[in-house]
Amino acid sequence: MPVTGNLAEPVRGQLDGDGRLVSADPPLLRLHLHCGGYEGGPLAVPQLSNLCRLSRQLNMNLSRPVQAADEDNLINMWVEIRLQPDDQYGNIGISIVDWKETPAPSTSSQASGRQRDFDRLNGRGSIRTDASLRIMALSMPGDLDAVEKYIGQSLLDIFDFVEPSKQSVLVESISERQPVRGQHVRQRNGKRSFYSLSGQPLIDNDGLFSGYRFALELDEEREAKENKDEASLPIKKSELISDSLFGSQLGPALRQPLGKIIANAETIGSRLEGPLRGDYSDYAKDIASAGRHLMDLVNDLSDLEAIQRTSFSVAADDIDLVDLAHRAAGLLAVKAADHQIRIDLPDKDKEMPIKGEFRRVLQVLVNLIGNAIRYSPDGSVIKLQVVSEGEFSAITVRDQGDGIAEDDQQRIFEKFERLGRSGDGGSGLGLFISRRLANAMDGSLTVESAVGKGSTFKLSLPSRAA
Amino acid sequence: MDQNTGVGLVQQAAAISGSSAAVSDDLAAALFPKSDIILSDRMLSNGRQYLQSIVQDIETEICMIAVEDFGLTHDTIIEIGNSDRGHSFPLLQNAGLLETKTLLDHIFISVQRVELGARLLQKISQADLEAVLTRYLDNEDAAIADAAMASLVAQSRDNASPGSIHAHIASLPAEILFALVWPIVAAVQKLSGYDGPGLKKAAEKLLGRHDESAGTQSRARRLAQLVDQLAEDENHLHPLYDGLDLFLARLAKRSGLSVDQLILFTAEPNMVRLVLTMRAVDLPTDHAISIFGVLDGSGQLLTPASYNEIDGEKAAEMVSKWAGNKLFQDAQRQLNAGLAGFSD
Repeated sequence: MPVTGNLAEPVRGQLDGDGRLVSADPPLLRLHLHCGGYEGGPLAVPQLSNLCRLSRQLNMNLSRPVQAADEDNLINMWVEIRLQPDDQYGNIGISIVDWKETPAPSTSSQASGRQRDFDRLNGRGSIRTDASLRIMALSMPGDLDAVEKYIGQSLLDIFDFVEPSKQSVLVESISERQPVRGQHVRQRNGKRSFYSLSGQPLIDNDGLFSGYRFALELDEEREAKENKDEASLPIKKSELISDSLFGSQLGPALRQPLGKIIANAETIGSRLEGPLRGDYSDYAKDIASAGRHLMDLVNDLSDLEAIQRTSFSVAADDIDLVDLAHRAAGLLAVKAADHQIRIDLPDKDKEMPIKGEFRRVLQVLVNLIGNAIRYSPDGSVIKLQVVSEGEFSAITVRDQGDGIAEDDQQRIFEKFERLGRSGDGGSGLGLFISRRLANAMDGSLTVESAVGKGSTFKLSLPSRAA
Repeated sequence: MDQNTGVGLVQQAAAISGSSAAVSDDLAAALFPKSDIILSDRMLSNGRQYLQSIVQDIETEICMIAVEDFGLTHDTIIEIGNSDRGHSFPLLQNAGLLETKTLLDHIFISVQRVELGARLLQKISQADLEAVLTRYLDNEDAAIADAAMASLVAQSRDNASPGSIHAHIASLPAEILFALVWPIVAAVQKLSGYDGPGLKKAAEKLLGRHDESAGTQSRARRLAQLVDQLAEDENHLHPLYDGLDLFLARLAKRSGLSVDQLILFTAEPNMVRLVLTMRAVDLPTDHAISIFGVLDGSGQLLTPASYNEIDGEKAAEMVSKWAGNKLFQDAQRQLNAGLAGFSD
């Protein structure tokens, strides 16, 4: 059944005298690109290109059926090649009057003989060993890497025996130079496929035992059963977010375009490329701001995913809280200056050695100082202080903002909790992530606040000897 | 015997002495045919008639274009343009310019097509045959309706004189017309003694305005391409249902063979390759037997047992081989010609 109907209008294209596709309707252009062509390049659909060449050679118009294919469909076309005799550039017109796409035939309907070939290709192999069962030659066509990996290794090192077969049975058979039949094994590494292993002892010309020749047959039933068993295992809640869904796939994919948007918007907004109407410059700044917000959100979501993994762990670096406070403040200096906010930092000479992951502690501090800037009035002061409390060392970040009501003080550490605020660039994830990070480093993150009296966030981490 | 007759006889004798040297070639071709296809006198006569009519049509057309469009005033060219008989044919024949394989293959196929058409008309009337195509005219797919209409028009034009072998330039494949036009231009130049550019320009114009899509077979191919995708037509692949051209075009599309190959198969003993092709595309037994009965001209029968015992996979394999590159197949055949036991 055709998946797309007949197009009412012919699909048209034009070739110049050198065979380049100078214009084409979208379906033709798509096919051309799919066949490896590029815009304005030589027509890359071989069947069409041949027809055009024949037309030019005979100097005659042609009307013929053409079949082409893309990844999913067979495309049946009725093509009319029209020479343009009055055209001094030797252009050729292509008019495709019937463009019919049908799904490409399924490969599952291959002849059984052909299927057997594929089965052999995927499933069957052979192994030749020496007298000590070291692999001398092997053919496992479904696993091209196998040759490189397995030659020279002992057969017993590359396979695990699976029920009901036992390695001892095989070893016994081999020690008695007996044929081995139908042993169930599984590749120890790589594809971890299941095989049925059968072998015959080899006797050389002098009548001496020289090794074994094994045949390997893919054990599809076992494979299917095993896969089913694995699929039916309950998924742990923490594994619902894939190890790499956001952090290593979506995150980077989003960060790159966002980065470009922000950079371009900032360039426009700062009028680096020349004069611009004031309101346009403001729009660009809004775009950059929104982009940064999205970028923060992407980063937060990546972190959220990371910290919710059961396998999440942090390093225990030897770091200094004072040094990190200065670094975090430095990162936010511009933002603070925008609001005429001063960040009061502990003396640089003072040291507060702790155990924790450098990157994660810095992240927590940036979050705390960033929040303080966001919720403090312009012209105010944010004060950072370090205190040693025996086994723990702490840094506090105090702002002069509106403060947080006591009832809300625990809620702010919950996921996506914004206390009713919106439009300030926060995602509601920062404090949640920060507290989880602090906990992961065997520390804590707490808040003390009263409405109208500002807030003090305290990050405590295990001390270490200086 | 007057003097003129004497001159005529002398010329005749000279000509015959030249041609008689080739009698052994003719005898060899008749005594030791290289193909299994038996060429009947009717086919030979039809073939000659077909070729003569094409050559005449083309030379007339070229001369007419030369006179009307390029203002040639040469008497011989004007005469050829208005003539109702061929002039360049004997010249081309004697020079061996009509013996190219492509051209001869085309003539054979055209003649066999007429033969098949005649066989079909013994089973169904022309009116009924035309009526079967009209069912596509109301198809909801505008392209099919359009192609069916174009096909009907072409068929009506071809059937203006039923049973006639007369060729239409419009129905010629581009390569055949191209291969004929230039030798004919050379022959007309030689006959007329005219060596200006007018004839060549006329030939170029004739080639330039040739519209392949106007040909009956071409239109049938287009319709076949469209209707073969209709699921409801799955089991109706039959010459009595589709007419000869559409049937052949559909079978060709489904098997991957060309229409010309299928026509050649129908001329072979017992149409064995056609039967294999039908098996390869999984035509139901009763269908295949019926098609065989309609197309066969030698009173042979295809039995269900013999059709069913053909291994479908093997048939598909052979058909796929026949559908491959023709040059490769020809070369392979020639290389194996002297070796016993090698065949398709």
